[in-house]
Amino acid sequence: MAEPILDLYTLFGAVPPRGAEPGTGTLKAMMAKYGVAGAVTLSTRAIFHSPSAGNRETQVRCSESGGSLLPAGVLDPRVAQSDTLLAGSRLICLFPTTQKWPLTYAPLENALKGLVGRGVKVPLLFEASQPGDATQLARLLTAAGYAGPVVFSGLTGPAFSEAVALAQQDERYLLCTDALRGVGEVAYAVSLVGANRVVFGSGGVSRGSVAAALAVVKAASLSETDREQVLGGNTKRLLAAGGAVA
Amino acid sequence: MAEEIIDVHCGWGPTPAAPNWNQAEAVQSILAARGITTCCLSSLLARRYDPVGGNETVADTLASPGNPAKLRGWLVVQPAQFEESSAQMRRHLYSENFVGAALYPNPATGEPVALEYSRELLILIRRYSKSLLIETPTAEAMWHAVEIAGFMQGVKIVASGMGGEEWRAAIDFAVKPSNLFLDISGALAPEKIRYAIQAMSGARKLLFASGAPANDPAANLAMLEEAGLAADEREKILFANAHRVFGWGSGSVDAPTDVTLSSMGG
Repeated sequence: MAEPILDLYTLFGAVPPRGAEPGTGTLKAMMAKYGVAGAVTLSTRAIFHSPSAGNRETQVRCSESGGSLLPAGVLDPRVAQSDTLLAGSRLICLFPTTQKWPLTYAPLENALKGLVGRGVKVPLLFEASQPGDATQLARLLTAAGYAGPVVFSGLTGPAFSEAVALAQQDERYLLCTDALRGVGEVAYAVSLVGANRVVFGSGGVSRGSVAAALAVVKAASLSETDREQVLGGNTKRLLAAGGAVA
Repeated sequence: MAEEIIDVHCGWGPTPAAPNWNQAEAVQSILAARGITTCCLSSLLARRYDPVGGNETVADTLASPGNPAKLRGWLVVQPAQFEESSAQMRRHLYSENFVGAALYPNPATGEPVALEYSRELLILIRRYSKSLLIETPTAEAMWHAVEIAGFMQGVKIVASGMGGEEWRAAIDFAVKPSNLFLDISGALAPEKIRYAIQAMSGARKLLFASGAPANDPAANLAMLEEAGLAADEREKILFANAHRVFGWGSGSVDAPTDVTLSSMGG
């Protein structure tokens, strides 16, 4: 493959109540084993405990990785001024289902406006597993004027159809492969929105299997050009265009 | 010779992403490309809407020789349609094409399969000396499967789905019954395999399943590889335990043969 494999969505650390070894050792080992050259990652501490402590941990671990890991920051609107806790992030992640906060939520509106006001345009990764959430987020982003691309993750069933519909309306929306695990699903997604808007993300190692996610994309009926785009080209493009949160 | 891999639980019926998943050649070709040598499937139509119609479609499919991957069936039974289920069991469960009966959560409410609603049907299933599959997408569903395993002593039960994301609790529930086997479909978490082997003191009660087409078998196989198992554990999960559950003998030499419908049915 000419393009290196890049994983847009990885996580390290524990998922309560399960423990896990701290740090990125397992993630890096899996990446090496399965030929993933680089990954955007975040500490699960930022999801389940504290965005400030978790995002800091992510930054530290990524800085120790020799460039193979890039930091993602968690935007948790339940925490006051959470949009200011994202410095250095190359991807901003929102987890409304996991963190149990609603989309109709003034702190979220303020956080998005805060990002826009500071000129942030890094890609967002949005947990869109609940039908209706992606549509509502799209409206909030338009209202706030956020210009960066949005990658929807956790797409199964009706949530998949919703993400596809949004992607067909506006090319800044992309689909993450993390939950596209069915026979033919990756190729189906590509047929609906184009290979330039389906992005490889595994959810590994804390919320998924790097090997399994990669196997599904490799097994998909895609041209080699399309497969390269999905597995690396699109992430490369997104990261290059978005820069980092100042 | 290529490794034998028995996928003990797949679906049968088209999906938007896999529109040919009701055509034997297409399904067999996809399974074979992933290395699956035998697959036990049940009708998606039967699980969700029409047990009788769905099962008959599967029966027709199984009547044709299966190459390159062998296809076997689970007969979907429904406690709310006792008479129809009873008639279909008489017609099909004597055939070696069907490995057993399968119970799924209530398609309308999602309620798990429970002994209190299924007792009569379970008594009937026991007469056929075949395996029973119970879909267990949650820990609660596994708890009920454990109760059913206690009721169905002597019947080998396959709990499919490992409790989904609640696999830790589901595995803890399932440790004790010696007639309860767990397939590894459900959450794509390699650590659940290691956890199950530790909790159950070995891999003797684990089976390989993908749940295709909802899950690509390539993903489940990759998860198994990522779990980093010993060769003997892997062999047990991929095929040896399935031989035991289905009474196909102890090794690959006794793999299921293509059989015709038994004259005892109907």
